[in-house]
Amino acid sequence: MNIATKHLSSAALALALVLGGTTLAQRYAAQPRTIHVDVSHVSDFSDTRKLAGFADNVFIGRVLEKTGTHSPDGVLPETLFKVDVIRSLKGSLSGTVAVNQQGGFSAEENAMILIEEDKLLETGKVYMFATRTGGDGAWQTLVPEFGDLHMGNGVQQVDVVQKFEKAVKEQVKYQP
Amino acid sequence: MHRKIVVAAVALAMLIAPLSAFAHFLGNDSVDGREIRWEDYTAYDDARGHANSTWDALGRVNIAPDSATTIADLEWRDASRSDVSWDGMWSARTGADLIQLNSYYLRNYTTFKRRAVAAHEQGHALGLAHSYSNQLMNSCSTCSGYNTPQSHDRSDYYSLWP
Repeated sequence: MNIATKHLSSAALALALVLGGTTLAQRYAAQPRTIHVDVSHVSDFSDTRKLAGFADNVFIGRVLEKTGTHSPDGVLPETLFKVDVIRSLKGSLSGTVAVNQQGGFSAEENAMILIEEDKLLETGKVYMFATRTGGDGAWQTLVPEFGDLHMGNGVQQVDVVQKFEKAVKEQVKYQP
Repeated sequence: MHRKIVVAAVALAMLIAPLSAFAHFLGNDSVDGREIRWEDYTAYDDARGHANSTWDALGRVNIAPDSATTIADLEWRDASRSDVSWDGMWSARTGADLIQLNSYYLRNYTTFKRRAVAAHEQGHALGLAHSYSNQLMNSCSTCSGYNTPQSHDRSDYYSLWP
């Protein structure tokens, strides 16, 4: 290999490394990571009676669409969903309501932010919701992990409904 | 020879298994070089002070206020939300991580409970995840009846910060 060819090869190799590295870096940077936020709940919500006593509303609803992301306290993203109320077990919700789920995509962090392991609601799916009213009545904020139980099908659905009917009947009111 | 390798492998597995089975780690924390430097924007100074001192006393991670020559790893702030189910929250962020105390609940808590919430969140900042109902790191910090690290909390802390 003469000197000119050697220089050309070196330049080509360097260019390939730079371009390849850039492409890899861009691909890596474009992949949003997941950040789990950890909270201290005000009550033991694994006890559905306490969950029902804490919630303003307990209802079965189908997620129609994701309507947006906002940040009421200016810190974390929260995601709003339009939900069709199928049946109310506690409270008087009906028709469609805005359900607010803490967590969502943060452009600033390039990350999906989740409260504990609480995955974002999925459009089309039916959930048992336990919520508190927020935003001066503009939305219903669900209890992460415990207040958005995917209903599943058949027997599982019946079991969940019976469990929550009983929980509402025997609810333990939240006391700070 | 083979027997020795098998025995060594079993011994290693027995050493590792209890850690993975019973330890409660987040895989993330606010510790930078064995130290958490914090900035204070919370009104709950007593609770924040208790949280810092009770974990700092365990000795492996220095928890100290931010200064002119250090970079803050953690901020303490307050929120006021009646629609959420948490009284305390720790979140990892680019730059300083954040502990939020929810004054909607804390303003009605006793000093003991406020300290429990703050110490629990400091536990998250140290990388500890939720554990058992009779520990500070129970998912409901005010339900455990403790506001200082208990046996398993300490065990997790010492495993994570040997």
